[in-house]
Amino acid sequence: MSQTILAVENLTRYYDSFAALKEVSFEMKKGEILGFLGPNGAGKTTAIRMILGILQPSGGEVAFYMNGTSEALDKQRVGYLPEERGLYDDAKVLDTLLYMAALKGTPRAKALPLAQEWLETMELTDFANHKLEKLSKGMQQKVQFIATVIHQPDLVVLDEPFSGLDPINQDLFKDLILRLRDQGMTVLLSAHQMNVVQELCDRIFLIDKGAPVLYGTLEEIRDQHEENVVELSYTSQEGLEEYLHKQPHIRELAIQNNSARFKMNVAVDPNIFLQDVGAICKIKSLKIEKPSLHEIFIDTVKGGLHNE
Amino acid sequence: MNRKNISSVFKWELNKHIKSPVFLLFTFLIPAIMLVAGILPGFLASQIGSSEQDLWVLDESGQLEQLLESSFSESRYNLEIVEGSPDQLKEDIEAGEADALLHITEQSLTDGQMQIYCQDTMNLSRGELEQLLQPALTQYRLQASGISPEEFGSLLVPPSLQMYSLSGEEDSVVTFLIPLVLGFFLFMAVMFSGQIMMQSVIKEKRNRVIEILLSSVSASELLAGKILAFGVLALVQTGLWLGTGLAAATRFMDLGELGLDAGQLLAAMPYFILGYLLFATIFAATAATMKDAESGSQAHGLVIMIPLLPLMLATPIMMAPEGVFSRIISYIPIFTPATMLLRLGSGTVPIWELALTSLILLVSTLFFLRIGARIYQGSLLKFDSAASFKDIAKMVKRK
Repeated sequence: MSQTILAVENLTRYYDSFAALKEVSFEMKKGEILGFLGPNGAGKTTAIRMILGILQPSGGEVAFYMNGTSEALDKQRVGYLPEERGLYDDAKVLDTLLYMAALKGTPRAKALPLAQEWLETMELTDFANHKLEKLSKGMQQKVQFIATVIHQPDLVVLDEPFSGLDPINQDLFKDLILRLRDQGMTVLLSAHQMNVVQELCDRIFLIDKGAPVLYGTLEEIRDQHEENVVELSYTSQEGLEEYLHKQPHIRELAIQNNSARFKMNVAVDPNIFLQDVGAICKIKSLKIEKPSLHEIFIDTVKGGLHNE
Repeated sequence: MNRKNISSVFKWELNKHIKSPVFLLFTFLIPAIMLVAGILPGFLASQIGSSEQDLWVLDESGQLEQLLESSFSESRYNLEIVEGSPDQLKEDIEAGEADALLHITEQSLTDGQMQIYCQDTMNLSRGELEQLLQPALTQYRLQASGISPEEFGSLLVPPSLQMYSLSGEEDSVVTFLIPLVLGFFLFMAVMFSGQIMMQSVIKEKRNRVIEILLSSVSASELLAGKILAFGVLALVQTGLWLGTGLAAATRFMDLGELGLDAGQLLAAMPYFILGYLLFATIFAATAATMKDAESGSQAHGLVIMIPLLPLMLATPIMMAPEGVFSRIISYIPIFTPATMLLRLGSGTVPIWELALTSLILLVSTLFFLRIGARIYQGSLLKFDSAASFKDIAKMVKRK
């Protein structure tokens, strides 16, 4: 997982005077799944469109290294599932897949067995000659997924692939994304389901208001975060609530049924904290852990809002 | 531009739309209407005019009996000279003894007024009867004037007019009709295929497939593939219409004798093809700027007026094909195709003008393709709103 296949450098896009994306830089390594995160309107789709040559950047560069050396974008080696997606609803499933493959330079003779294999995997073989409009929304999303990867691209860009999926299909798509990686494809995954991102992604790149905010492996990001999540349960207490409220490094305190949950700055020594708390309550359990990606996302984005 | 991508788009669009119900309906409905319009009146006329009729003739003048018998001898009317009171004879007709009664009086010989009484007017043709009566009455009058039967022949020869243009060539109806027909078909091709193409572009925007397409091919490749596919559709469509129209027309005229001018058709082709490309580009770019089908068809309604305008001005152009007005608008690209098609048939256009207008049209078509592709590219991802004139101006300027 060492070869860089995509390098984005200082990518910038202005709409009139509004900067939708400001000097965004990141790299993708061959065979990795990179989580591309950000709140709605952060500039993810704009960045993706520029990477794929659909939009022209106002500044910065996008370089591909599919063959090891810098080269221009080869659209045939990239697969893209956009956030706002659709296919020809009045066309047949198999015809649509073969057309999408043809647009990516895959001839019919090669695409046909691939399409049939994918349809079988997705349990859609019986619907190959049905018009797309006759399929359920979930089935349509499966067809869109096949259309994205049928030509076996080197780089797959998935923008919100899980939106609108039921839990069963979410699990199916998770497995499929992992399967793509196992086949050697590199995946840029933009999603709002933090638990799924945490589960699938090797590295994460978070942008907010068009600017990069976090970048690294999940562990690196969690380590960089300045707060731990603390869960404390106790059997009896005297002045614990007052004590916790007074601590400057504690926030988002929630106390309920002899248990407290709060965020605590990493600067606080857990041993001293344990000693102090132990003196004012009878501890049943104490858990201090790094925050989840979901919490980091919210803290970062909300922190960004507060800092405005 | 990648030819393979254009070819993929072309094949898909052609295959998809040639089987679409809208295309099939328009393509086959119009020839069907043409055929019905061409054949039905003749068929009905032949059905009505074929039944034999028993016609009684009451000739009170006693002068026309023999002449009428000879005039009606090869008609579908079985003539029988009768005598009696007109009222009694009318009753007999009513009772079904014959189909009609022709009543000729002394006065009829001078003023030509005659009466015919029948049970059902549908079975008689007034024009046909007048044609049959005309020679008998004329012959009687000539005889009454003292002209011998031998002289009748030369007196009754009808006029036959041949028209010659100053260039020395005989004008035929076809040389006049070709440009009109081609202009009409250019308009029809642009209108029908343009309408389907606009809907196709708007639909790709609406169902968001456009973003997937643009991640595979460039906007220019997509535009080129579409324009070519709809051009072939238009050719198939107009070919069918033209073929059917000609088949229907042969019922009324011998097209071979009229002499179709191959040179004229050849000269018309660049205007037809480039004209289609020019308008198709304008239509596709217009559709791309639209948000939905409704505003798309309103825009189409306005854009369709552009190729139609010269046809509205057809009369002044054909009256003075070499006049200042006709020549000036020949050099305005959006008017060039239809105006030149009209001028080609109505007059003799110098070769240098054919070359110059074709060149201007070619250059402006390429220019419109370039600008159209920019607007198309810039507008396709604007899903939530129609592009404003300001947006379009920016797209045009963007390299």
